[in-house]
Amino acid sequence: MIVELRGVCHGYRRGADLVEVLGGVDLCLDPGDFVAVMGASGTGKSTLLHILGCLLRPAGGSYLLDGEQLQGRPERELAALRSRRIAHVFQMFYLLPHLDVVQNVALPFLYQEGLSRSEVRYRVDDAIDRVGLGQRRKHRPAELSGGELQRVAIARALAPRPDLILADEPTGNLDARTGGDILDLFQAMNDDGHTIVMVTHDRHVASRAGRLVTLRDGTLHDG
Amino acid sequence: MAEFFSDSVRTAITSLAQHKLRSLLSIVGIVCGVSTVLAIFAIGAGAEAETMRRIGQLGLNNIYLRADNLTEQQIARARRYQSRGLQIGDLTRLQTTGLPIRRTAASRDQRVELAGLPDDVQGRVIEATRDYRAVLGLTMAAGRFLADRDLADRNRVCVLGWSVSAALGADGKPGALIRIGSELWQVVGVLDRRDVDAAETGRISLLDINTMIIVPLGTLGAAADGEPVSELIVELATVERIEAATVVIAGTVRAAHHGVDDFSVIVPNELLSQAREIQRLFTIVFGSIGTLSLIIGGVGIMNIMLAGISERVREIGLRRAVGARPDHIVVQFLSEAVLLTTLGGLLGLAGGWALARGVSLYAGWPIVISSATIVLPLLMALATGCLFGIYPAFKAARMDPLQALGYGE
Ligand SMILES: Nc1ncnc2c1ncn2[C@@H]1O[C@H](COP(=O)(O)OP(=O)(O)OP(=O)(O)O)[C@@H](O)[C@H]1O
Ligand SMILES: [Mg+2]
Repeated sequence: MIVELRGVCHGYRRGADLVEVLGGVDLCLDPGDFVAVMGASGTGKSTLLHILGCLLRPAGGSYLLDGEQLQGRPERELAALRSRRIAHVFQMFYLLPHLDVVQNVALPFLYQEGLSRSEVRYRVDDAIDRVGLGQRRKHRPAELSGGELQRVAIARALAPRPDLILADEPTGNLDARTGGDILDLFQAMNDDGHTIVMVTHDRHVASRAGRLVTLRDGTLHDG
Repeated sequence: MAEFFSDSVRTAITSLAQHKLRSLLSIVGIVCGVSTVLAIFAIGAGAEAETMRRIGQLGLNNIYLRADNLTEQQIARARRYQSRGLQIGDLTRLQTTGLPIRRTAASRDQRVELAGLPDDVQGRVIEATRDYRAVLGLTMAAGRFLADRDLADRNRVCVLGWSVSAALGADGKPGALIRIGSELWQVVGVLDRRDVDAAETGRISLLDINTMIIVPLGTLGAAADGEPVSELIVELATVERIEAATVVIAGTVRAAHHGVDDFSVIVPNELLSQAREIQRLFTIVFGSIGTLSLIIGGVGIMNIMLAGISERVREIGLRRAVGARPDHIVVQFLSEAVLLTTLGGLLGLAGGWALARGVSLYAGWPIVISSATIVLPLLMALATGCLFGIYPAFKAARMDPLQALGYGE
């Protein structure tokens, strides 16, 4: 099992009150899983993804990544996980405007050591080729379309060869056709053995995933 | 690691380049601060070197007793107490004080003309003793200085200053005969040239070595111990406790003169400390101004960094999301501060150099620009940049990545 969440809860402070968003989420993922997460707006899908991605420490429960307990780990170690083993694809792409495609994709490698320069270059080029942007290497984000921007973001997630790819409504900002192409990319990545968790509002999108879970009233339900 | 640093620098350069005017304005304070500090250092070092050159030539171990022009009252008193003015015998008396005296010398100004000098060259004839050369640290260009036998036998020999020798041409070389007053004297040596502005040394006119014609004491007029001398010089073996030695020497000679104050005491070492004290005050005052503008410059840097950070919140969040640790963020923003201050520092160096040159041209002060006068202000600027960059950098690093990415807004 690559991911094991047990009784994960989380809430946010709103004024004086503590609003519970996740109230005991259990989730197990095996390597190669492609899971779609659905649920009404505000049910905590993004929150769950951020916990999975070590961007947020859950208020309670346990998180095992590859059998390792992540609770109480120092920020330094979580940061290392974010640069190597877990990758995010955001709805808003979040590319750095002053960097070209290659530099954006290479960003996670700035924060990890141990890879040779040529290995990094190979992985970056390979990821860019996989998302079909081989002709756009030197382009800046301002010179790319929405679909291309999301491809760059996917290449950035792909390049470090993470164990887990987390996508938060990756097609949310794209038209149906471009969104379909992006989904094909995720499909291909999953075929290559990547484990993927994708949040979506679209039932068609969800149907492409091997498994569907729904977040309702703070807990996950299959189907 | 190397990639991380080059990315930090590249990011810093990009963000500076995107806001050229803003960045330029933010470093004005640093530029002013570095300029001022460099100019102060250059002028201070120049003044120090000049002081050393001027005063150091007098010999920092030396104590000078100079015969004063007496007032009517003092003349009357001198007559009454039978003081005969500064005497070579005063030196003998000083030997009994137990002070660590290494050498002594005496000289007597003579109002005699040297024949054959062009009009534009001034020659000044003085009588001196053997150690006059060593006490003043003079060196020979040719020949020898006065010897004991010259004084004992009252030999008609002379040693020429450099410009006198040059003005006389072939007659100014050792072995030549020259006419002083009505007699012929043999040149036995020529002194090395010593570059001193006559105007600068006006206070201590004896040091215009280049124009001197030095003859043995007691050869031109009265015997060596017959008449007062113009100057006695005592060279101590050590500069330690030179103040105390000065008091003893002045007291001993005054007592020998029956309490008549017919001489003044000049201690180059004291002149040097006085000059240094003045320079120190100067440096403190202007150094504070420089430091103040560096601080203002630091605030400018801090301001621009805070602005930059709030514009780049998303970038910070994204970098954290792909694995940057807080310390990576600190380094990234600090390198921006360092880059800015380095830029300001370099501009400041150019400005400071121009300022120092301007002051030196306008006021005629000498300046010295050494590696220290360049490196130190630059280091001060860098320290300022780091100091004032740390707060914004830490502020950026402490941000919550999700908030920075805009979640929960
Ligand atoms: N940082 C925060 N501070 C306070 N409340 C927050 C914060 N982040 C999320 N919330 C709240 O928590 C709840 C769950 O948010 P979350 O973004 O996880 O929902 P979501 O399922 O992703 O919604 P959507 O489908 O609209 O993206 C929402 O009510 C949201 O307002
Ligand atoms: Mg969401």
